[in-house]
Amino acid sequence: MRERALPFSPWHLLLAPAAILFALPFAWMVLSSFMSNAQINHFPPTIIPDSLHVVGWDHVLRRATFPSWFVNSMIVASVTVVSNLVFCSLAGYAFARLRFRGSSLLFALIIATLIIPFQLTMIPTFIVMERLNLVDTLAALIIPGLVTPLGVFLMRQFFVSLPREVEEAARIDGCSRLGVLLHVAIPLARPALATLAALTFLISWNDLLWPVIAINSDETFTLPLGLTTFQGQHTQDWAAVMAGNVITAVPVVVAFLLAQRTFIESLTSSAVKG
Amino acid sequence: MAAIRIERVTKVFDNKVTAVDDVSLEVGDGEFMVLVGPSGCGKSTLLRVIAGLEQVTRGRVLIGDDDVTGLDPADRDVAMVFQSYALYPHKTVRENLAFGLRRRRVASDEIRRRVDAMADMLGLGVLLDRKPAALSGGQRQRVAMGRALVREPRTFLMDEPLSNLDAKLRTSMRGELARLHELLPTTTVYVTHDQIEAMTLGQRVAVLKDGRIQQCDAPQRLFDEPANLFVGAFIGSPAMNLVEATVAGGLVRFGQQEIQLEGVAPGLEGDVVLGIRPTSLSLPEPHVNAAWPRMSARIDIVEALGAERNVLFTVDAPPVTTEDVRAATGDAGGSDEGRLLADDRRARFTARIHGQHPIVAGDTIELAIDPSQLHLFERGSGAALAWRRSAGLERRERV
Repeated sequence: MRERALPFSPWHLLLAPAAILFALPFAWMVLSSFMSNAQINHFPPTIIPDSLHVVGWDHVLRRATFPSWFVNSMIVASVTVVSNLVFCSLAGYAFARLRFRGSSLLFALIIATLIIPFQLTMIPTFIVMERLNLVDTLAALIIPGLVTPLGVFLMRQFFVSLPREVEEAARIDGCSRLGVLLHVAIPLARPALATLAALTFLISWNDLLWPVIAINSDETFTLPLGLTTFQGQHTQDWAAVMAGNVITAVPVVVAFLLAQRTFIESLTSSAVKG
Repeated sequence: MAAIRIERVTKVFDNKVTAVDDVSLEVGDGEFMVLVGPSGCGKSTLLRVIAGLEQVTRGRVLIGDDDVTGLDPADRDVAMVFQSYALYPHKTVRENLAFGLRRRRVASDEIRRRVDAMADMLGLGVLLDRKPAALSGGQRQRVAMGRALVREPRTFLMDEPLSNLDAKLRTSMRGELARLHELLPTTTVYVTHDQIEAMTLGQRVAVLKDGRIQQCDAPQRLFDEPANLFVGAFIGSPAMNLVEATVAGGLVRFGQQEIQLEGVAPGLEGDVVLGIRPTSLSLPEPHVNAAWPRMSARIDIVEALGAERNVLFTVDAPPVTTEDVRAATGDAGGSDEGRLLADDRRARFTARIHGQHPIVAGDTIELAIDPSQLHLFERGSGAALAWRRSAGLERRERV
């Protein structure tokens, strides 16, 4: 066997600098949250501060409504994730496997909505929410995102790729259509579900534009909306913004790490199948 | 256990393709029925119709005394083994075996007992906690069989279950399957395109083409008395030698060759297709009847198979290239594919002789033809001609 010139894969030479590049903004954000505004605004910028301050964290945590923003964001994101997993799986499976009149037209219409920008539908959506008396409630944030065309598309593509014979075997083994979905298709769809969950969580958690329109009162704010209150027209409390950002980013990182394990599992298991 | 009755079943797909065309078939209680035919002949569709995975366009399917035509696969009490095995990749072997029982709400003690017994029988004991991805092809195949057997269904349906295995494993699994059916004589419908599997496993074999059953008979009868040109050309390996010939005055002629037909029915005259099995051609050795007609052959190719040899030679007469023959030989290396030169419009024959004879390509040899083993088919329709006055009787005397 030939002796390797390097004790690690040559890919690492490329990947390690890239990883540092991507991690840098996060590191800077964490560091900045422990600086005073004077240190942050200093020019040229200091990357490694000479002293640590908790003034930013103090501002954020002192704000009475901050915990409720976190809870609000959590409620909206969790409900959206769960409902997307349920509804997108059901719809995706139906489009992949059931043949009903107009199914391809309906699917094409759903896909077509992907090209309509949200800016075009936000005012009609607002009017609908107003008529439903839901403006300034969390329901206004949750209902428009209960099921997304992207999720339906993602799940449908995955279900189409599942071997039909496995599902037929389950039908012969005594499963109904729903049984096949629950006992065979969904367990096999874990990688797709993990992707959908991570994606939905990220979109919902980071959304700012729709909450700005649909939410007015301080206590109904979500985190991104709340963070904007640290940026006034004339003053910028950067230390508070950065501390708030750190708190906001943590659940996203956790969600990604949780989903990542499933991604890797699915990649390695399919590699063994051969 | 239960008999299967298929009554005038037609299956037309959405794209207007008729996969199964007015098929009626009865599979006896405990019988091993093989459906065989070239790809696209409708054999798998017919199996899926029995399973309930396809709905019939017309006709009825009965299992036992129950009309199951409109029933879901789950309610038919059938078990199926798929070509790809179709194991549940996310479940262990034990869970794969138990899944069908669990869905049918069998008590968990009973499930454990039956799964363990099945694992013992098929030698899966050490594999019970593995997932299908960690099994070899042969092991997956056994799990797929076990999953079907453990349910103790009324009928087994098998869709080319051995075709993903390598040749050696396939041969041994074939034997195992035959033994298994002796052990558990459950009504079985088995689909294959491999005629050796069909002939060795089936108590009866139904030969299909274009969605219709051409002949359904015991394997030996299919070989001895093919109902038409397609069955004649499809069954038997190497394939039956076919040549355009004419019958006149009790003689059948092709090229320069003339063969006296023994006991030919009066009035049989005109153009026919003559079929001679490679095994009906033999070297004129002492035990061969001296009265048998001879033909001389210049050997093109010798295929030494060890115990036997196939010698290939050309006959100075036009080959038979009707649609029937092309369909029958299409996936087994047809007469056209075996031809090197496209403009060679002569029929190619194969004779099977024993392996010791020192023959090389280029030799000219004399072959004796067993006149009782000749097959005559109508030129147009391809239907077998009952040319003997007492068809079939002579043949059995010789066997």
